Amino acid sequence: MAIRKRARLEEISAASMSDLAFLLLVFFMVASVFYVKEGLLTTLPKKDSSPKLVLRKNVYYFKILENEVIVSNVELGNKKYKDLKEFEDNLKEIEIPNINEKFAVLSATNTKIQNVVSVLGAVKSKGFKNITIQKFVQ
Amino acid sequence: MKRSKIFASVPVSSMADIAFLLLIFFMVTSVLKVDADLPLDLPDGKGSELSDDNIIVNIDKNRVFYFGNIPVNERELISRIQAEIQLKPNARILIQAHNDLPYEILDKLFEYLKQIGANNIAIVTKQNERKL
Repeated sequence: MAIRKRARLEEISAASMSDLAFLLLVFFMVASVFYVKEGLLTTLPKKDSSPKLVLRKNVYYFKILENEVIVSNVELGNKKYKDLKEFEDNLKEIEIPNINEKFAVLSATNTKIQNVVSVLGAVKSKGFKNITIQKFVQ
Repeated sequence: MKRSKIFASVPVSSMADIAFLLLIFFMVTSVLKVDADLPLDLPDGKGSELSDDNIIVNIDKNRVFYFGNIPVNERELISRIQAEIQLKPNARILIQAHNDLPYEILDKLFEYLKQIGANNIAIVTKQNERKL
């Protein structure tokens, strides 16, 4: 009498496939880098806006002459920094009683945009508000 | 009578389908935004994050103005910005200027922008990498 054999189903275990898929998913999530556009936000004055009168003692000027930066105010006097690094290092030592005062970044026309952006960024990062950018006529 | 043992198991084979489905979904739906390939060396600086819905003005080291990535002269640039501002009044003008350019270029552009009432601007700094 012939013995009937039980048919065995062959199968490949797919359990580890999900591990592989999630590993890939996590790898791409961790390894991917997003480039974020950053910039210095500025609002230009309106075309027909009339200039406001401000007390001179409340205005702080940051004059940029190529690499040199001069911080000046009626009460503070003039502080001269020979380059941007020295200016950024000493910015925290400049005592300004109120960050809501008016700050004017004045740039000479031949100053590189890089230097203007560095000064503007440093001044903004200190928390100063009311900053204007102007052309400095020597 | 001896009973055969039944092992309790959760079928996980469909988990792979879900994972791959997710992977493919994100690959298909993600959009990679590529900026105009202009040789611009942007200034280094601490800036704030900028949103995408903006008007981009590029200025290369030869002082050529670009509206997006189209080279234009100053007059054309201003008329294009003006037209765009009318469509998107809250849009910000992103100025991507080469870092070696003199400030007078920016100042001139600011004057033009003031004339057409484009007051919201940003000077774009070097792009920063951000991880998830």
